[in-house]
Amino acid sequence: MKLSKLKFADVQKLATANEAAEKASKEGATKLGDAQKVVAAAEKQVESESKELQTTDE
Amino acid sequence: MGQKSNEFTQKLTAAMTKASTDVGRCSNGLALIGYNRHDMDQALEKIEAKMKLQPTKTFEELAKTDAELKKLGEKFENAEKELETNKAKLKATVTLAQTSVNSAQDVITKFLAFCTEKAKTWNPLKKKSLAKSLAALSKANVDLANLKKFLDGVADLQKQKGNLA
Repeated sequence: MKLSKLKFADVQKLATANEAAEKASKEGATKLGDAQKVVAAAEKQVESESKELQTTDE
Repeated sequence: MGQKSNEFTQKLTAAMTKASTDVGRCSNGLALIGYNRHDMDQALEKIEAKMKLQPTKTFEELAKTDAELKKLGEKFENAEKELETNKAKLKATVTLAQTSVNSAQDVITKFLAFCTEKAKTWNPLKKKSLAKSLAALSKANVDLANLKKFLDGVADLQKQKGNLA
């Protein structure tokens, strides 16, 4: 966005919107990071339980 | 039989590792966007303070006689350019992660069907082990479904102007 034609009130609005977007991005990154951990844990669980299943299959 | 289970396990762990890695990339992409927004925010804060003194004048008018304001404007616009690049990258990363999660779910569905079918002829010991596997697979499926919803949410936000994208 070009700032050239903006006046103080416009810049104020822009700053408010940007601040909200910054917060949303940071929250999103944290949530996705947490979700990644959940999937990684599920992967280990599946691997471990499936190994046991294979053992009893033999 | 064991061989088949082994194949499913290998496929599934590979698919889930990929899904997890791709989701990690999305998380990093969003964090980068957050940093860009932060840089823009810092520049805007200083621009606001300067423009507040003459609220009826445009940035362009004020920047003609204020070199610092001009520099702040450039800083803001550079951060915004980086933001646009990172948003485009994130869009591609989210699409990739959605595909990976779908693939992992597909393997789970097939693995579950395989276990359920084979269990009909298994003895109690095998069935006990199967129950644990089924529980782990079902939980993984729910976790992936939740993740998919969240990725869809990020993709939706990218479509909305003024939000993440």
